[in-house]
Amino acid sequence: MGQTGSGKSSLLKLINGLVPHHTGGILSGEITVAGRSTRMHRPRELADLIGIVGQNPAEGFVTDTVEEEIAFGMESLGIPRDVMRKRVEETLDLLGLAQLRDRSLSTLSGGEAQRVAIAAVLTMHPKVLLLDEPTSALDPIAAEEVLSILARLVHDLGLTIIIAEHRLERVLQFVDRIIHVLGEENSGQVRIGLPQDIMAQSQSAPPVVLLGKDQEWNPLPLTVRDARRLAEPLRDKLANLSPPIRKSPEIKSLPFIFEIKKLLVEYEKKVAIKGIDFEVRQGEVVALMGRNGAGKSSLLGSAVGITPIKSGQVLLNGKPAQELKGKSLISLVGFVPQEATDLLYGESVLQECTFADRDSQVTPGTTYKILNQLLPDISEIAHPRDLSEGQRLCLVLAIVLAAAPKLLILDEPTRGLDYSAKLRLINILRAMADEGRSVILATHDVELVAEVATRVVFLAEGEKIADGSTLEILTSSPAFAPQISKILAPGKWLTFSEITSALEQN
Amino acid sequence: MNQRSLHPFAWWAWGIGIAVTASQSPGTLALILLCIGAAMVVYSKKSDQPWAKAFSIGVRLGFIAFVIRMIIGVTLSVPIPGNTLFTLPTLPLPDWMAGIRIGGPVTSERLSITATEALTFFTLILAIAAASALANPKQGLRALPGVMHQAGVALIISTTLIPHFVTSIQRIKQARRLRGDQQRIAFRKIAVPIFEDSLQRAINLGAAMESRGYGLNDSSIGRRFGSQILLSSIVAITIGITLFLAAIKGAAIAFALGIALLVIGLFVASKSTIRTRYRPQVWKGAEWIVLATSITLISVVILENQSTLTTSAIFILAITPLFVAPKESGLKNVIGVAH
Repeated sequence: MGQTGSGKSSLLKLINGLVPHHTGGILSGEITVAGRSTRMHRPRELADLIGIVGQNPAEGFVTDTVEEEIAFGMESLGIPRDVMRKRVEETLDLLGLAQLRDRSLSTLSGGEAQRVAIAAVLTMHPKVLLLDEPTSALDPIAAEEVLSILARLVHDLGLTIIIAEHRLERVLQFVDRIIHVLGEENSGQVRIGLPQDIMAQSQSAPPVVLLGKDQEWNPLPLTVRDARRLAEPLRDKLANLSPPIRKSPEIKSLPFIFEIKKLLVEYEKKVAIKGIDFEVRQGEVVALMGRNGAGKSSLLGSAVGITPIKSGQVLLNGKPAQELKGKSLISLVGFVPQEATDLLYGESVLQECTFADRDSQVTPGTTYKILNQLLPDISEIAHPRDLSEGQRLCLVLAIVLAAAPKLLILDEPTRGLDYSAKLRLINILRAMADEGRSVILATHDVELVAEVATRVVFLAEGEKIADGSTLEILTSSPAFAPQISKILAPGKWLTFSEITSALEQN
Repeated sequence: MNQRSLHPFAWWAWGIGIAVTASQSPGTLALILLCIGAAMVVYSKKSDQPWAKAFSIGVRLGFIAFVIRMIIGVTLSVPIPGNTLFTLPTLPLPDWMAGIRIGGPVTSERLSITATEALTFFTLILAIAAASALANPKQGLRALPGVMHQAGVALIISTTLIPHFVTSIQRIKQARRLRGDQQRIAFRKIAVPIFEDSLQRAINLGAAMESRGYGLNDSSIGRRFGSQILLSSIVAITIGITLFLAAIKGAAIAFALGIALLVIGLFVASKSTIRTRYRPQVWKGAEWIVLATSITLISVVILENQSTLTTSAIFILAITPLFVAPKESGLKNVIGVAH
């Protein structure tokens, strides 16, 4: 664990020798894996010992079908054909990929691609598996699936797994030890220890740990199960308190800012959205949830006219979204896509800001001022690609907010964000809602939804299957419930901050 | 690949067989029969994969070649005496070009000779198109001998990169819309991110391949030696083909030399590489039959003169795959949606 840009990925790449063999740089000291030094061996010579799966596994695919991809590494190692056959079959079964063996790699969903990438390194029978944010792009259920497979590998095969992850709430229950990378301000030092010890010292922690620390529970709970056992007195204490009401009901009378009527979206052979009606009022924060591929991105894309619409209407402030462009579009809606980098095409932070000022037709310097509020210590000559994930998101937000849009749309904003960056995002979104602007966010991050959303809409297979208040929707589904509500069920609490403020008032 | 499909090299052997037969002027009827035979095989065996479209493209291309060859043959050539059908206006040419003329009388002999030649062209193009429509190019690349494996991998990667390139461009266009950018000329704003994107992708792919053991033991001396032998064998075979087509003696010697070098080169190279192949395309009965018929086809047309018997033999040999080859397996991939 560690902040964004603290060097988690670099540490992983050091272990398999990609740093410095592939990236360049100066290495002092010695790393040995099963007796082989990364100084003397190139990563390819360590391939039979270490498997690494990067942040975006689809970018590392070499062949074009699942089965060939899984066999690729073994071919390079020169493993006999009959052994290869056997290992491929075993691995396909182990990771539940047998159904997908003939599929083209480009048609896989995020979770499937992640599993294929893991399978592709497992066939080489490595002793160590390195994973860089394996679940960041996955919905809670797909993430659960990948993590439970990993847990099984550790138990069954005695594999060593080193995993870099921001969403500690997902992985904490599986880990034996934590390496906390402290980042630049601590001159790249790391702290290694048992999860309890590291968590007790760490500022950033999942809600269950925060609650545990606040209540001075001993031992510090790391999982919902541990916490539930200790939470009995707290549940009693909270029983006669009621959670704060989210967003006052007068919002109902405010006008619609965004309306969708009978929207139908089709791609080549698949229907992405099947006649959805959906509307957002001024000042609302709506969370769009659902599996990977449920149609969330298509729905959001329709708001800015980048999704081709088959039939139906998409209205922004009463005007068809397709027809708006330039200034009239961006002053109504700001869109932050899944890959925030997509929006950046300048060669420095300052240049991006200048472009944004011109496009939004605002006084020069406006964007930079907003950026400075979001991120006080950013270097203006830095190349946008060299920024950390969190910094990049802030830059894109600043660009989008320069035109002061009435509606802000975020697609999967917390991907790659650490707890402090997430907190900053939560504060920005809350401030926007208070100003009467609306926010729609598509996300898998239930903790984020619990913090900011006033309403949750659930999509499945291109249909709207649930639409209601955050409390009602999140507490009704076990997979999508935030940790706090799991601990305090049946009490209707969603976030740690709700509890602290309720206890303080009492 | 649960369904069996014929080894791509067998399809190529078949296509080359037809092409060589056509080039040996087996007679107009035989040419027409070859075209019909090729079309029959293609339409009954082809898959719905994208490369199956190669045949219809080949037909169109062949037709254009046919028409151009006819126009040139009729208007511009050495006079052939015979039964004059009609006379085109003659274009006067300077004295030093005597013997060639543009326009002039068109005889039925000239028309028929030109038509046969044009038909030969057509059949050649059709044969190659038929083979490329039936042979799975990706499996073909994978079936290349170990030494050429890297070239194969590079080609497969580059074919998957084209769609990425298209999405890159789309994304940047979308980004410009999302940012309300209405500048007309923005080459720099589009080109720079695309290059950055591609570079980033290439670096990531390189890292992934490196950490999966790609290129392990690739630089041994035996391999390099083997590649050089293979290179010379290709040169020898090319010379052989040229001599054969130009009907100059010595073709057989060059061919034999080339094939001998090929075998030695492959042997040396495969001895020194540790790379193994997962589920290689099998070469079984059907492949042997197709290869054998192709060789018979070529020998029949080289050894025998035109006769009804050879013509029918050519046709039957050309359509043999119809009876022995399995149908090429089709698209199994669900078309995915980018979300």
